Amino acid sequence: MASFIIRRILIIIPMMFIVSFICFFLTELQPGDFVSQYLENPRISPEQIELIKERLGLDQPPMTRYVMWLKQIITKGDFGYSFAFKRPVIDLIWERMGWTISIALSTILFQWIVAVPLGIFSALHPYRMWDYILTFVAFIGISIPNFFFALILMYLTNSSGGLFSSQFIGAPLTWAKFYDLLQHVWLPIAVIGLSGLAGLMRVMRGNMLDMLGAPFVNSLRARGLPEKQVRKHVIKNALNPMISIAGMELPNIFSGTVITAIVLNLPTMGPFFYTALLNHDQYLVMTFLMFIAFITQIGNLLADILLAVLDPRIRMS
Amino acid sequence: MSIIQVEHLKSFFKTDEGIVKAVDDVSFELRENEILALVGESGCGKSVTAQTILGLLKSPPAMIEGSIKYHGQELVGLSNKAYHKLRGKEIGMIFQEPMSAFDPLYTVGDQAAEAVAVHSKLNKPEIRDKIIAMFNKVGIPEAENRYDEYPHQMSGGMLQRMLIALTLACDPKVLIADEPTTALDVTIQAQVLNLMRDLQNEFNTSIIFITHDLGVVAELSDRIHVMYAGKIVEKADVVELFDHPKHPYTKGLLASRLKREMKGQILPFIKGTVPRAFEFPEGCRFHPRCPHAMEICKQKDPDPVAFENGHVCSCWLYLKQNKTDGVESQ
Repeated sequence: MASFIIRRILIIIPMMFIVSFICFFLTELQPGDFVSQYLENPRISPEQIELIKERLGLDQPPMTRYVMWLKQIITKGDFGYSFAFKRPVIDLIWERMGWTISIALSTILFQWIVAVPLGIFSALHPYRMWDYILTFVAFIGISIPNFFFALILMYLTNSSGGLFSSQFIGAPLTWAKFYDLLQHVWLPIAVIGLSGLAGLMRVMRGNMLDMLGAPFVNSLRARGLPEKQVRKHVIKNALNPMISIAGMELPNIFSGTVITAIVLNLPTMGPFFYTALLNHDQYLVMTFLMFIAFITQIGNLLADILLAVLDPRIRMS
Repeated sequence: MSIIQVEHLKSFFKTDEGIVKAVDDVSFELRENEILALVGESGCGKSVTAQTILGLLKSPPAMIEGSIKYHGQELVGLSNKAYHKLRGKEIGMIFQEPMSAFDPLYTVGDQAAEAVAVHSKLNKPEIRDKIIAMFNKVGIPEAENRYDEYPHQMSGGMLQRMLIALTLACDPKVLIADEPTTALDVTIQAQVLNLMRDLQNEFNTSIIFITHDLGVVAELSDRIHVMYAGKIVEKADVVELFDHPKHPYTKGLLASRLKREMKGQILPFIKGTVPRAFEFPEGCRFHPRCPHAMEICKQKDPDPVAFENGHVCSCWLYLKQNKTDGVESQ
């Protein structure tokens, strides 16, 4: 088990190198660069543009810049400098990380708490009224774009998005502020959670139906176990495949909800990334992509470990 | 004394393609201390019969009619709750694929203990001792250590022994063995068969042994019922059946067994295949494949004919012979 975890952690290192290479050259492929926005500005002369380019290091060939970037990361933990904010990108990302991760984790928690019991219920009463109703609602949830659902909910609740009422922004943390947060935060969690929730519920239902038809279930019944105990076995087996899904979900919520986060006016990394992309703020974009890749890796690592803990077949091979 | 009395049992399934008559008007009895073999090709309704007895078929789609009496208690229509008291404790069942008869996430010991705990008042250490003793009895080496291992760590033969041990640890009066040796390789098959015979002698369990392998049956069973397409076509003692098979299907099955002299020849087989369950032919269901098929066979299902020594066979050949004297027995 220990060697399994160490092996899985060590694999992250070469993976991150490959990811850094891909991130760099993907952003490099984007037409233009940070100074492109100055080209049409009559107040900035071509000489000035050359000067800015030189100062930002954009006059160097891509390979050189990549090696330099990598060297800075490894030796100093310096992920580069945001052209637009004129601050180290790592600081910018840290500032938004707290909200990003807490909203993502609460969303996942919310999805699981709702989706798993509904999926189980649906599978235990298949092709009955409530199963059909849940299926119908689930497909609506999958079909509605998140940002649109956000707009509807904001309209219905007369909310302007954000996580705090204006008087609490920048105020020190008090119970009143926390209460205010709770009043706001359910909206993004419900909105972002809904589509994934519907999918999860369907997967859980499918897993349950698969497991209910598995031969060992018949064998358990033949041993005379009461239905409740049989169900426990079925649910545990049906839950395992869901764990790998959870591992993949974290990055999905980060990157898949950019527009929703803009609509909801959230202080998370999604909208921030979007602006950086438009600005050709190369180092910020690359670092953000690296960060998502890293979170994916961590998510998968945790999912694998959890799976190994729960499934002896994985633990022992 | 009969323990299980099955009368005119029908297990039909409603499907999109029509009604599947998986078991159609089957009657038989299981006597105390005997091994009764249900023999037939795949898809002839052997397993469905077994699952019907244990109430394992979900209804709907299953439609069950007729009567199954266990010690006089009617099982058809019994509530699920009442069945829980019966399954495992009174009637145990072992399955064809030992690999898929265990929950992969729990140790074999835990699963055995769970089953025993449902049916007995023993405490945990007592249950553990009982199961380890049973593991030893079925010939599992290092039973103590094996108790805490997972199904995927065992071989098929080992798992089948464990399933037998687990089932017998609940002290059932009847054991239904659904092709318990089919998924095992030949040497292990023989071991498991010997084991079952020894255990039957020791625990006085009555066994319904389901198989398609006549060789297995010859070694093990007291009486044989041959099934074809959802019906029992012939019933006899094991010696009687092998020496004087009556039904053309039984004769075909016996002729299909391999012998050494057949080397280099085309092997004997029964022409055609078992018809699909929702399109069984009219009349005797075997007639399209039967070398002796007559006009009457296509029209009407034959009634069972009784011979000496409890030998029963459902075939027009014998019914005709009874009606019109002087027709030569073939």
